[in-house]
Amino acid sequence: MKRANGFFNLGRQKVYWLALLLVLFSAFPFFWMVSTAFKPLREIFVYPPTFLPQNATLENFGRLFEQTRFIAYFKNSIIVSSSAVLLTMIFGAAGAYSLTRFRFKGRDKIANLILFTYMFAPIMIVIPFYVLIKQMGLANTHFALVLAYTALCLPFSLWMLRAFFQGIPLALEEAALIDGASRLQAVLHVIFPLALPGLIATGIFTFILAWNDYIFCRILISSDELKTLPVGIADLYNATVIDWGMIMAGGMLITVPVLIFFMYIQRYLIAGWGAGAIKG
Amino acid sequence: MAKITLSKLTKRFGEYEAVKGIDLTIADGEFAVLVGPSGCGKSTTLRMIAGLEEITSGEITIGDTVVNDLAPKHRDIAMVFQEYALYPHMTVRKNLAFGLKMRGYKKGEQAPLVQEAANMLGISELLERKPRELSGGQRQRVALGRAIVRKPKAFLFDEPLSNLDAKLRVQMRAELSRLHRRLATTMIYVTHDQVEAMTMGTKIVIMKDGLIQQVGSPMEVYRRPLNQFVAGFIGSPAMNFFKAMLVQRAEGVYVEAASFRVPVPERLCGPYQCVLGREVIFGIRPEDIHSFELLQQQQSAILPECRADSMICGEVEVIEPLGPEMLVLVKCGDQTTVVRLDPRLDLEVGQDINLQLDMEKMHLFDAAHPHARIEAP
Ligand SMILES: Nc1ncnc2c1ncn2[C@@H]1O[C@H](COP(=O)(O)OP(=O)(O)OP(=O)(O)O)[C@@H](O)[C@H]1O
Ligand SMILES: [Mg+2]
Repeated sequence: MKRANGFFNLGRQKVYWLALLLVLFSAFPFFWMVSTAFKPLREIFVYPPTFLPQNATLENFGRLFEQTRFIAYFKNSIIVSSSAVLLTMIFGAAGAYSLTRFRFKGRDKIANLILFTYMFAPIMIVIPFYVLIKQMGLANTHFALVLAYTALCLPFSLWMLRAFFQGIPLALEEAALIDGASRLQAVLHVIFPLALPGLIATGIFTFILAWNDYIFCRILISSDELKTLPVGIADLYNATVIDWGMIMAGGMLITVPVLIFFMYIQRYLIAGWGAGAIKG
Repeated sequence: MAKITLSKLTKRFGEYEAVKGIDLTIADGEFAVLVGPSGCGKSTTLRMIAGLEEITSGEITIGDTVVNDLAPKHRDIAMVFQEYALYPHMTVRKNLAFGLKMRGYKKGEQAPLVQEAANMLGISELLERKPRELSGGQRQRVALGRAIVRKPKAFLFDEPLSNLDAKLRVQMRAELSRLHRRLATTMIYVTHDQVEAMTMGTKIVIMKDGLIQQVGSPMEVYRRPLNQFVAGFIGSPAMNFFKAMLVQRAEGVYVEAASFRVPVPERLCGPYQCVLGREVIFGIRPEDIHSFELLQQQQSAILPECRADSMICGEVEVIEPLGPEMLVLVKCGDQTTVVRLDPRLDLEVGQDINLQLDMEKMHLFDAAHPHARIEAP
C-alpha cells in the first residue's frame, strides 16, 4: 500500500513538472509581448535581448492611443462580441428548449445534424457569406459581423444547451407550472438557473470566437472606423516602419481584459456546476 | 375545496388509447385513490386533471368550472410528484414560497404561510437547507409542504410514497390521512399499491387498461368486487380462484371444482339459481378459509352453521409465518390455495390439512369475459 502510494506521488510530481514546462512554453510569447510593450524603441532590438524592460516606459501605449484608432477598435470589438453573445444565448436557449421539450417531426434528426455544420472551415464559408450579406445590403456593418458570429456559434450552443436541458427533469418544470408559473416563468425561474453553467459556457465560447476573429471582419468590414481589434492591430503592420512596441502594446490590451473577465466569470462557472450537479 | 368531475375522459397517444372514456365524480373533501396495475392510465388521468397532459376528448370540471382548456396555473390545484421535483437551486423556504410568489403574494404575506406549512409538517428546522441536504423522507415532506402552503382547491398525488422505505411509508401514510382530515380538501391519490389505497382512501377507483373497473369505499370493493380483476387486485394476499360448476344435488346446491365439492349456503341458493349448471369462477379469500381442526378444538363460533361437508383437503406446501398470522400454501389437487391461519397452529410442510371454507363469504364470477360478478345480496 505504502509503496503504491509512494510511486503514485512520484508520478504526480513528474506530471506537475511536465505541466509547468508546458505552461512556460505556452506562456512565454505572452510574457514576451507584455515585456516588449513596456520597452522603449531602442531596447526592443538590442542583442542579446533583455528579458525585462530595463527602462520601463508607457510611450508605446501613448503612441497607440494618439496615432491609431485603437479606442474605436476596442469599442467595436466590445459591441460586436457582446451582441453576438447575447444573440447566441437567446437563440441557443430557445432552440435547445424546443429541441428538448416539444415534440415535432424530425426533431432528433435536426439535433444530430447540428454539429455537422462544423465540417466546413470558416474560411470556406466566408466568401459565400460575404455575397449573401452584400445582397442583403448589410456589407460593411457591425450587424453583419454579429450575424456571422451568431451563425458560427449557434450550432455549438444548441448542442451544449440541449445536453444541459435534457439533464433537467421535466417534472421540475411541471411542478413550476402547477405552482402557478407560466411557461416562460418556469423557464426563467427553474430551467435557466439550473442550466447556468451551460449558458455561461456558450457565452464564453461565443465571446472568444467573436473577440479573436480576424477573417470575417477582414472580409465583411471595409471602413477603418468599423474594424475590430484583431484587424485593426494587424493593419498596423502596413506602415513603412513597423512599430513593434506599439503593436505589442495593442496585443496586450486585447488580451488583458479577456483574462480579467475569465478570472471573474470562473467563480460563477464553478458555483453553477455545483448547483446543477444534483437532480430533483 | 371543490368537487371534481370527469366525463367521457379519453387520452390517446398516437394510436394508443391510454384512457378510454372514463366517468368519475369525486365529491368535495373526498380522498379518492386511483389504483391499478402499471400502465393502466392512472398517471395519465391525474396529469390530465392537473393540466399537464392535453385531453383528447371528454370533459373535466373542478368546482363549477370546465377546465379543459385552462392552463395548470389557473386550475388552482397542487400536485406532489413521485420523484419530489423540488427545485434544487432553491432553499426549502424558497421551494415552499415559490407557488406563493408566482401567485403574486407579497414577501410579508409569504413568510407566515410558509412557517405555518413548515410547522404542520415538522420541517421548520430545515427551511434554510437545499434539497440535496435532505433525506428522502424530508424531501417528501418538503414536497408536501409546497403543495399545502397555498391552500389549493384540490391535491393530486402521483405515487408520492413509492421512493420511501417500508417503515417511512407506513408513517407517511398515516400522516397523509391526518393531513386530509385536518385540511378537509379534495385529494386524488394515484398508487399501484392496494394497501395504500385501502388504508387511506375514502373512495377507491380501480382501473385497468384505461377503464374504471369499480368505484367504492374500501370495504365495498373488498366485500363486493364487481369482477374477477377487482377481486384479485384488492386484498392481500389475493383471493383464490377456482374454475368450477354450480350443480344441483338432492341435499342442495354445490360448487364443484376439479378437486373438491362444497355446498352453497341456503341463503345464496336462490340468487345463484341463474347460473346452475354453468361454468363459473369460484372465489374465496385466504382469510375466509379456516383450519378444520382448530375450529373443532376451539368449538369456535366463527362458522356456526358450517356443514361438515364444506371441507376440503390438501397438503401443506409452504408456510410463511408473519407473526400475528401465517400464510400457508395448500395444494388441493393440482391447484395451490393461499390460506391465512392462526400461527398457533402446529403445521409442518408436507402434512395433510383439512380446511373449512366460510361459504357465506364466497364469490362467484362469470367464467366468460368480462368475468363479471354474479350478484348475490
Ligand atoms: N407520453 C406518452 N407517449 C406515449 N405513450 C404514453 C405516454 N405516456 C404514457 N403512455 C402510455 O400510456 C399508458 C398509461 O400510462 P400511465 O403513465 O398513465 O400508467 P400508470 O397507470 O401511471 O402506470 P404506473 O403505475 O407504471 O405509473 C402506458 O401504456 C404508457 O406506455
Ligand atoms: Mg404512473
